[in-house]
Amino acid sequence: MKVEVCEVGLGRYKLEILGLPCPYPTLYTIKTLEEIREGEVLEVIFDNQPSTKTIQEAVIKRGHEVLSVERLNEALWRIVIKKTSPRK
Amino acid sequence: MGKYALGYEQGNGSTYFLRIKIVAGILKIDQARIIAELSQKYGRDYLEVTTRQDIQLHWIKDEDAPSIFSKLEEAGLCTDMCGQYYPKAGNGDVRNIVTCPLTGIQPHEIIETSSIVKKAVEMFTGRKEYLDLPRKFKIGVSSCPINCIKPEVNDLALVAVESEHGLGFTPLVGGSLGFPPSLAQPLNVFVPLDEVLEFIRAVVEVYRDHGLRNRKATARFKWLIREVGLNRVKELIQEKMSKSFQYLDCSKISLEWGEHNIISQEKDPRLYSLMVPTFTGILNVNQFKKIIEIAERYSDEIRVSPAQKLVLVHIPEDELMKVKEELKTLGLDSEQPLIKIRTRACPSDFCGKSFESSKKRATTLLDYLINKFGKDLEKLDVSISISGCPNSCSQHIVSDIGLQSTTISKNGVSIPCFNLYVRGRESKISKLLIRNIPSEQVSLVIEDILRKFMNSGLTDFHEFADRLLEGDFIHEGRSM
Repeated sequence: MKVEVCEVGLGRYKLEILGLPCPYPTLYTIKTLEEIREGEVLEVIFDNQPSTKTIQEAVIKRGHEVLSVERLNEALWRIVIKKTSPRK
Repeated sequence: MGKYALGYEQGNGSTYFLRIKIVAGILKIDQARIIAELSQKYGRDYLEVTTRQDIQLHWIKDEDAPSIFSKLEEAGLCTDMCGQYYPKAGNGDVRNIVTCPLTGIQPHEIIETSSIVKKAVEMFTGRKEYLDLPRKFKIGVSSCPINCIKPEVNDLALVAVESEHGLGFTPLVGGSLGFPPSLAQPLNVFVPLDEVLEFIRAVVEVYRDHGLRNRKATARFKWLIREVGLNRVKELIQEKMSKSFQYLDCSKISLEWGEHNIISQEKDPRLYSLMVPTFTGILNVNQFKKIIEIAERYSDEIRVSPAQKLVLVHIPEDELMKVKEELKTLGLDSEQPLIKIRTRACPSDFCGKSFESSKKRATTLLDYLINKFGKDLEKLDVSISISGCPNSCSQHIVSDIGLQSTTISKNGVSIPCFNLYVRGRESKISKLLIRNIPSEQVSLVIEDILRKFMNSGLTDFHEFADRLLEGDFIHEGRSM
């Protein structure tokens, strides 16, 4: 199990969530989005397949923008999100 | 983390389910109240009792999970980790450990199993070293004289024995009902009572350390046994425990399966247990709350049965009729035909893997049979189980009559169908009798089978099933 956030560039963060089932990838994504500034970008790397759908749904529902969804390999996905709603 | 998760699903407008483990099938009244509250607040007043003694809620929202998990923690409850959607082998956990719902109160058991199950659950729950098994791992502990839990459907089954070596268990390994179904095979050893927890831990660790992780499809324990053989698995367990086991001939142990009666006399002969006939495990929260009210008049707990039922315990004989009447007013009539009470169905309408709802099909089928046969149906001691896919969540593949949803394509149109299985005497695994029966014909086909059974003069359905299987009955969509 791994949950790790790091800054990978100016205004760009990476959240890795590995080995965690639903709903943790979605919850950690939302929590991390609450921590960053409007306009900043969050890359979420995860291995729990249903999260490809549930992260997108949760993010869109909260007014953020999904920039890309990518399957990195057989068991790893990346969703890139731009925070567009105001910081809480 | 590691004790709570939601399961993902894609049916009935639900994205997540909450599968609450009822440890040893014993649900304390306070815990039941919290589950009722969760159902009401987050789960649209709906509950399901599963074949692994869990209580399942649906329509859970991810943002509510932290509040729900903290309520469960307060109540001393936990959930499955539901790691089935990882594309690779791994992230498997020990699922709810199944045991007889009447343990500790039924008169004829050799060993009271709930304390063993509780300790085993504590040993694995939330422990990082047991949360990355190659896949899920299912355990059954049986001391019930009728083996009501069908022990061999589990990856590890422990069956209580009183042998020349003393009191303990004999283990069987490698059961799993998903395709291809297999039953656990005996290791033919004796595990003393005081070593059973260490033994359970050793088996789970052997699976964790040696289970096949190259493909998810072959990661269950049964595939390791196929790969290296039963003897090697036995050696690995013995190495893990640094000891050898005494031989015990498992063929002398009764592994016949039975189902508990609606009413069972307890160890204390003045008291009785009464099964609440929740059809295919479905309950609404008002029924559940009333059941809690009834239960607490007699006990501080409700039992949860792998037959998708609840069981009320410690009821004095002279109160039984009153309780039955109260249940009847809730729409839970225990005077219904046994075949209806024993029907099981998976929640296929929620999981999204199926072409139709198993539970709704069960309702349609049983209503039809009751209408057709009337009182004659009451004589029948036959079980029917309906699953939405080959994973056999309703255990259709070990039922007297099993139905599995499928589809056929005709002129580019998908037609929902069922494959029909029957269980003969030779094996507890059912065999395919008819393939691809269009859904609307299923009731007619089952009616025909039951009518033939009633008219056959045979009393054992398994013997009748053997006769059916010997005939030329496997035809596409043909009723008999």
